Amino acid sequence: MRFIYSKIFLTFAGCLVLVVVLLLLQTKGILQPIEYALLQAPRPVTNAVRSVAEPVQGFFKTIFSLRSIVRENASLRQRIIALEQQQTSFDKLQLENELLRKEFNFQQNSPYQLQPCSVLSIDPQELSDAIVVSCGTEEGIKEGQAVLSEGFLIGKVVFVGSHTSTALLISNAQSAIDARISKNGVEGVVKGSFGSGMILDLVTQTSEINPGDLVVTAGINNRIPKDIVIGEVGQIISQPNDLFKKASITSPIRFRSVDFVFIVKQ
Amino acid sequence: MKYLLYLISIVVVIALTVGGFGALGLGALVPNLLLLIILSVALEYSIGDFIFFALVGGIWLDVIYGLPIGSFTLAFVICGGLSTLVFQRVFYSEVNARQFLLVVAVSTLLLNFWLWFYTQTLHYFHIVPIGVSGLQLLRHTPAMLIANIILTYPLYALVEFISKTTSRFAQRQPYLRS
Repeated sequence: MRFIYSKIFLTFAGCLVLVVVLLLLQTKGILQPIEYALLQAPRPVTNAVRSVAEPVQGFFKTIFSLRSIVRENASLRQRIIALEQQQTSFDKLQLENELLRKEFNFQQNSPYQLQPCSVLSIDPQELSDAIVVSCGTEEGIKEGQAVLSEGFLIGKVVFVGSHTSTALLISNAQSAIDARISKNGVEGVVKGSFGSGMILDLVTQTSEINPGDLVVTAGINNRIPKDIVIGEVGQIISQPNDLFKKASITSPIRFRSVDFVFIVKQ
Repeated sequence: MKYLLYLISIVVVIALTVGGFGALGLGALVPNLLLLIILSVALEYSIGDFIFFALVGGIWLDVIYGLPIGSFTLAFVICGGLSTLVFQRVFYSEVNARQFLLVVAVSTLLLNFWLWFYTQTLHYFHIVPIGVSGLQLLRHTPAMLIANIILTYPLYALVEFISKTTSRFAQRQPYLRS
C-alpha cells in the first residue's frame, strides 16, 4: 500500500486525472480555442521545415521513378490524343448545353453550397487518416458532410468544433460511402483499404464494371449529395465465384498533400 | 527559462515530424521523435522534466493527429514512467546505449498498442468518432520501429550531451559567481 503514496504513483495519478478532464472538455468542444492555437502555433516552423524537405523529396522521387515516368509519359500522350478528340465533341455539347440553360433559366453555378476550408493538419504517420480543417459550427459545418478537393470526394466530417472540424479520409479502412458507376448506375459501397487505396465493394456479380468507369456518390446518405466524383475504377480484384464483385478505385487526388478543401453544406 | 527551452524543443520536434518527415512522403517510416526525446529525458533528467515533455508534447501531438487527448499523452507517461521505474527501482543502474535501444523498441510497441486500445475503447463507447485501426497499426509497426531505432543513438547522444553540459555549467556556477 505504501506504493500509492510514492511520488511516481501520485504523478501518474495526477496525469491520469488531468487527461480525463481534458478529454471530457475536448468531447464537449470546450478546448476548441486551445486546440486551434496548438494547431496554428507550430505552422511557421513546420512550413519552414517543409520548404526544405519537399525539394529533397522531389529530387529522390524523380530519380526513383524515372522508368515509370517514361512509361506514364507514353500512355499520357496517347490519352491526350484521345482526350483532344473528345474535347471537340464536348465543346459542341457545351455550347448546346449553354443555350439550353439560358433557355430554361437554369442556374449556372454549382448546385452545392461549398465552404472553403484550409487544412490545418494531417496525421503524418497515416495512423488515424484524419485531417483537421479550419471550419466548424461557426461556418455551418455539420457531421457527415462531404469533404472535396478539386471536385473529388476525399473524406467525410466526423467531428465538428466551433472553429475546426475533423474529417476521416475515404481511404481509411473504417470509411464506407455509398456509390454508383456513373455511366450505368451500378451501385456499390466505396470502402477504404489500408495504405491509401479504395475499393468498390458489394457490387452484384451480374453487374458490369470496367476499368476506367467513373465512380460517383449515390446520394443515399442525405448529407452527401449524389454525383460527386470519387475516382475511377482501376482493376477488378474479385474472382467470378465470389459473392460480390470488387474493384480498386483510383483518385487523382493525393489525399495527404491537400492544402485546401471544400465542405459541401448543401 | 528551462521550460521555455523545453517548449521550443517540443515545437521543433513536432515541426520536424510533421513538416520534415511527413513531407518526405516516407509513409509509415516516420520516427516518433517526441517518444525518443521523452524516453531520453525520463532516463537522464528529473521526473518533473519528463512529465512536462510527456504532457505538453503528448497533448500537442494528440491535437495534431486529430486523436482524443490521452492517446499519445498517456502512452508517453506510461512508457517514460515504466522505463524510469525499471532502471531506477529494479536495476538501480544507469541505462547504457544497448539497453536504451531495447527501451525504445519496447516503448514503440507499447505506444502502438496503447493507441489502438485507448482510441478503440473510446470509440466503442461512442465517446470519440475515430478509433485507430489495429490492422493499420500492425502494418505500420515494423517501419515505425525501424525509423525509431535508426534515430535512437543520435537523439540519445544529443540529450546526454545537453544533460552533461547543463550539469557541468551548474557545477561551475558557484565559481563564476565568486
